[in-house]
Amino acid sequence: MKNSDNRNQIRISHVNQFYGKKQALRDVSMVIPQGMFGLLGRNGAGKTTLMKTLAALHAKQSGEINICGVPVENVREIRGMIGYLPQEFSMYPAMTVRESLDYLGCLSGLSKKVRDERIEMLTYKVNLEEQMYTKVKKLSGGMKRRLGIAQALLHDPAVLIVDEPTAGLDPEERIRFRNLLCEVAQERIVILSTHIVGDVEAACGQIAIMNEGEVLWRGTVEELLDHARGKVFTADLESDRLAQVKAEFIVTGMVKQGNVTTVRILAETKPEIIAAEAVEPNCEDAYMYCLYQNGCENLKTDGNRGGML
Amino acid sequence: MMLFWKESKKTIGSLMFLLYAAALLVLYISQFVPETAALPTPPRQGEEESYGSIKKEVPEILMPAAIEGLLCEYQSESYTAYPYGFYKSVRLKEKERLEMAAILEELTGLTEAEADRFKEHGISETLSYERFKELMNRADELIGGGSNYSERYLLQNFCMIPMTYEEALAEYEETVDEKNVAESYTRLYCDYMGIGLGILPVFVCAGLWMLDKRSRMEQLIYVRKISSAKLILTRYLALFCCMMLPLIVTFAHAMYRVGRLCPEKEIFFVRAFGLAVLWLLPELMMVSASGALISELWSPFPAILLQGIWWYASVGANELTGDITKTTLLIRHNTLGAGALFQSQTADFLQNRAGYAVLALLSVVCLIVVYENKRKGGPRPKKRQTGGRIL
Repeated sequence: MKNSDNRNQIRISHVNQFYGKKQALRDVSMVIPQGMFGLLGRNGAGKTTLMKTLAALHAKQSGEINICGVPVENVREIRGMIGYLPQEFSMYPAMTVRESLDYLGCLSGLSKKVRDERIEMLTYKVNLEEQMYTKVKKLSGGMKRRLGIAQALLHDPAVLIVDEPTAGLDPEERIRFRNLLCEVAQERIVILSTHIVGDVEAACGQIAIMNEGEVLWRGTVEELLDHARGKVFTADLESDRLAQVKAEFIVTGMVKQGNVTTVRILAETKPEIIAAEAVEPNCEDAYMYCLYQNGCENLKTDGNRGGML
Repeated sequence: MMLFWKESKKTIGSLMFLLYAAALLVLYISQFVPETAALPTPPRQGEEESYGSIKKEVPEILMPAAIEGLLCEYQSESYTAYPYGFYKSVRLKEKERLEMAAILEELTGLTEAEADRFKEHGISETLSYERFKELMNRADELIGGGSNYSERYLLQNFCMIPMTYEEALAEYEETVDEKNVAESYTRLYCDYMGIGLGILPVFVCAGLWMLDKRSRMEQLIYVRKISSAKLILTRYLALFCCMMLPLIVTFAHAMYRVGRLCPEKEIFFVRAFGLAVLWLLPELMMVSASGALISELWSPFPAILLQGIWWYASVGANELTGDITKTTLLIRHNTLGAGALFQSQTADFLQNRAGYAVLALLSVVCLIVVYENKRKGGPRPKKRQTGGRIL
């Protein structure tokens, strides 16, 4: 039964998911409100598994998921509420943009009149009007992604799930795509999964950081930045000291100018071995700090595990 | 309905479908069309060496011929059998060899040492036809089934007798009779086209069923509101109807040519069409359904491989004419005549075709279940290990 409090949010409680013996989701709990929600994490963190579980493409092993008041077990109803853009997708290459949208609209049970209206509106919105009669195989990567968004919005879903949509796009196309998602998120829940921190920083009000199937952190971008404040330092180093610093600290940025390299490093307190100044953290710094704080491995650039900050 | 048209358009536009239609067309033009160049000529009394042969259950001919065949194979210690439609040479173990010797002794009335005198002596005087059939059945069991002495092959192998002029004339008249001529040509048409339908549809099915995967459309479709039953049934129906198109065109052309052969006769096209539908549709349904199901379960390759094996076994499993069984996928009738022989096997024909139609529908139900299960994420895929470093 629908609950009016839950209509504009996704509630996930203690969800576990397995691939054979490997646990892909570990006791995941969170509430996703209306607007843009970013899921950030490394490859293999469990983002795609969580999104597929929300889209009823994977049955969860345990826990509860309630999407806008509907339990995820009501597959038929959930399918009508979800718009999904998978990480790797395409469409029938021989179909035109219009034909492929019309076909998927048919599968969503839309009448011809509604399909025609929505195809026209969405192709305008995603700037594919001129490609309406172009075959899918002739579209560029960015156009295909925009077509992907159009197909996901075709049936006007309450929830839009997009899995790493900006991977492989050039910067201009990426910005355009992010803006499009922000626009769409004004009237629905949009879950954006990515490992590109900049996308989340620029577009998402709320974020969650995942690693090895667990939610490490949940809050706003501002809160994440606050969390890392006072832990980020910058220092100018001679080249011969670079290896030592890389071995001892997590380096989040390096700019080389002549013999001097300016590094950004993470540390709990101001490092004593080098002349470092505290700086304002950016989102990448904060993300890395979050991973470190939760004991994540392989964070140092030389590949040594663990170690002090 | 809209989805049906879209799926049909997708099917007709696929390369595999075009190849399927072209292959059926080649089969039709190369095999059937030459048969419709002219009506067969009536037998001419006294001017022909042979009027052909006819299968007749005459115990006086059947028993000595079959016993001689069994004796011959016993003496050479090697028996020919086709247990699954494929040739197999069988050698009996000592215990079975002794039992076979006892069977032959009862059949011939001769001991093993006297067996060479069979030609002069003939079969046992006390042997009844019923007992003969029982002993032959046991001999077939000892060989492992599918031997020349099985119930199915006995008549075929040892009871073909030459036709008389009168019999040949009667068969000819029946073949070209106004009521039967369209059916006679339809049987031949179905025989040729049935060979193609036993294998060709699987390529179209496997290709189309894998199109979603190849085009990376699977997940886009899985999350749509449409039910799996509606989607699969619509796709199957569209595929099936499209694959019917080349058959409808070639059959219409075939009947047009038959009509031209007999301009003075009223041709019973509707009956002929009914026969073609009964003959070919269940085969097309079955091959399409099994191809789609196996492609969905595994991949197109096993679907094509298994269908290829099935087709090959079916082609080799039966005689070219008058050998309809309840189970064979391909029904052969590679002659314009022998209408009476075909009529005599109507019950087997109908059971065979009904069985395949039901089996095809069951396969489609299984396909729906498998597809829905996949949509919900089961069986669990093995996830690739992804390492990944951030810096």
